[in-house]
Amino acid sequence: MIDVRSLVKDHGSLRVLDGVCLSVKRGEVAAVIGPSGGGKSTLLRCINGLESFQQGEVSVDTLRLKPGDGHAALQLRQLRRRVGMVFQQFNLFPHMTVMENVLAGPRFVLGRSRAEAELEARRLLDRVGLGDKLDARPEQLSGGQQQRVAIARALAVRPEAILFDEPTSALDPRMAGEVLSVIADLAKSGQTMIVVTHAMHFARQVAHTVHVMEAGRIAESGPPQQVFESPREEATRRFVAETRN
Amino acid sequence: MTRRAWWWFVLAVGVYLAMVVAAGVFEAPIASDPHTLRWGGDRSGGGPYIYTDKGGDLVGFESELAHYIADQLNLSARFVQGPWDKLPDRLTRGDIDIVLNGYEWTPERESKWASTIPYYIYRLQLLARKDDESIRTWDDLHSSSRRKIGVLAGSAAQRYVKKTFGDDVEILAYTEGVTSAMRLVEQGQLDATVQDYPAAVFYAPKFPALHAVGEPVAPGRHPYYVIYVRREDGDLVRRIDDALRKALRDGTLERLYRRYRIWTDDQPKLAVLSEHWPPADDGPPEEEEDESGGQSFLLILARAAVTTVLLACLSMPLAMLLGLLVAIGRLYGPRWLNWLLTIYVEFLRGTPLLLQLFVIFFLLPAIDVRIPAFWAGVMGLAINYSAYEAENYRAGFLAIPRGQMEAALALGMTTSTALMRVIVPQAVRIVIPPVTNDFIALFKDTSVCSVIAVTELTGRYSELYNNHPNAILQLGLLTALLYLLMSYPLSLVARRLEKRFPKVVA
Repeated sequence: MIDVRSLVKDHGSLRVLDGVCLSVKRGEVAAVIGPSGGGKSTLLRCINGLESFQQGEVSVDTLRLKPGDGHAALQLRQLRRRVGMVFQQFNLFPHMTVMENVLAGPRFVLGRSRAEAELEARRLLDRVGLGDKLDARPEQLSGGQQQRVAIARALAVRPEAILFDEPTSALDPRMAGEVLSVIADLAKSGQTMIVVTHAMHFARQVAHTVHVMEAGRIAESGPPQQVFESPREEATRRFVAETRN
Repeated sequence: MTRRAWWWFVLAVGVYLAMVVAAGVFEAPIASDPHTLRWGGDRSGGGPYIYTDKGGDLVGFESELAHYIADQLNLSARFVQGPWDKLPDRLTRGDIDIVLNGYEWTPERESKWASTIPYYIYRLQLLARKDDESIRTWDDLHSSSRRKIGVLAGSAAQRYVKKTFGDDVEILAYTEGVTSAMRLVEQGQLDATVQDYPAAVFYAPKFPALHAVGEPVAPGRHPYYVIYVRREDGDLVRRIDDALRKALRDGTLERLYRRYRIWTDDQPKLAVLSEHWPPADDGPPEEEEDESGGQSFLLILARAAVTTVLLACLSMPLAMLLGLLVAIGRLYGPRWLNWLLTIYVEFLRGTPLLLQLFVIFFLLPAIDVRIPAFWAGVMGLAINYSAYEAENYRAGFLAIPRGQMEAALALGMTTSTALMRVIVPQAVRIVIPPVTNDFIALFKDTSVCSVIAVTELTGRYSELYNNHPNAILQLGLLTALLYLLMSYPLSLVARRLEKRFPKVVA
């Protein structure tokens, strides 16, 4: 469903992505792991057009992003409606309540009325365990709660895939656990997703495929079992060993 | 403080002191000196009184009169420029020795300053457009259509029109000279103007579309131009009176006035007057409560304060809206738009509000855009403040984390939806404190609108003060109180708004 082909991105003289290839099938959960600065987040941001790239191609179903700045606005919007995103810093809208955050997509993107969308939003907030916080403001919630609202917000436009950009890096372990269990739950229900994460046990238990990224390249891809137990690449071995300690 | 910072500080202090010295040189008032006659006038008031000729020299019948008097007194004449309606105040302050600039004799002024014998007997001339069939006599001003009449603020013409035509006409008083009103009549923004006869004669060739309507009239019993002097300078008054009497006797004055073509059949009476001056207080005071028509100062000022409130409250929302659009254009628009709007902002911030109002009010009619004074004021304030609001909003937008826009776009919103639903609502909360400050500042800047004859609070205050110079304390306190009554609630509202929206950005 998502196909990234030979993606190259330069930041000035620095090559952030150096020919990245990646495909994700419908219903697949892909984890992207690797040392910081390897280009994991940039890859996600290129996939939904938040950043441009210099070479290669991103395709989501029949929609294609080409190199260069000027993505057609309509094309971009169609792509983003299919591919949601959850950010490391949550990025909830601070001037809206929890409910309004979740309704933002249905109302302002899909053009539904508030009444129409509210039932679905309630269901989503129940699902992430925040059915009792509908009228709270983001600032009144813990980080873990905020991230779960962000997940509900992304789900509310019924995306075909969701990109998670280090969803638990800004959280302490207990709160990270809450959020990861919500994501694992989504994975079980067949939601297509790409998760950039440092939570190794999560990658190992939930992902169908693990991609190890280092220095702007995918060093190794494979089922978690294989990547963690019998890595073929030196880079993978080094990274796995480091994260054990 | 580091050594480097210390040197910068010393340098800054040095530059500041240098500027103080420069100000002492360039801005020095002309000091009182026993060999100099400092005479105050307003050359922007125009001919034939005091004006600059093409060579830049000061000319006019009053300029020549000042030099004649100085010669007779064995003094050297030094001209001091000042706004016409503030000349008596400069006299009181001691900046000048005499006021010699078409100042009419009034009992009010006589009670505060000493007058010389009259040097000219004036009349008022009604001027209207030649093609305006509806104004052919003075009496045509008594019409149900409420003609708009322009006059010089604080002048005898203003008092005369008010007294004679009352509410039959709408009086617009301009502080800036004589020609503003004439130009506005020519352009059709006013129906007529009433001017002192010398000005009407002098400017007739420059405004060919206008003509004199009816005979010039003598307003009141004392239509005299006099020279004002401080009360304590009684000796100066006597010496000037002697000089004037001599000029009357030997025909110097008549020759001067004939040269400027302002000699009239009234002038021979000057000789009689010079023997009986000041006039005995005969009969009831003719200009009792002239401006106020019996109303208290508070009522008059409160009415003007309403105009001030309307000016401010109508222009600020426009300024905020315009500023918001400009800020969005600069931050999210294409590069050429950003470039254009940067010029817009810098141009408006870099030029005075006063100048912008003049352009809107006096120059736009040249391209056939005519805006009533009040709305020109609203427009000028709105446009001027839009530049400041644009900068406030820009700072507000930049204070919002990038992730907000990204999250909105990632949901699939268009950029404009994201701005409207996510970015602007947050920016508005951030800019509440600076915008409220600007609103308070704008309240006070509305006073600039008096130059285009919008009678707001400050304008009304100086008008009242001109006619009642003895009530300065009462008028000043009332005006200050009204301003405070208007701006203090704003500060309270601002404080509450800030509390209601504690910083929303995480």
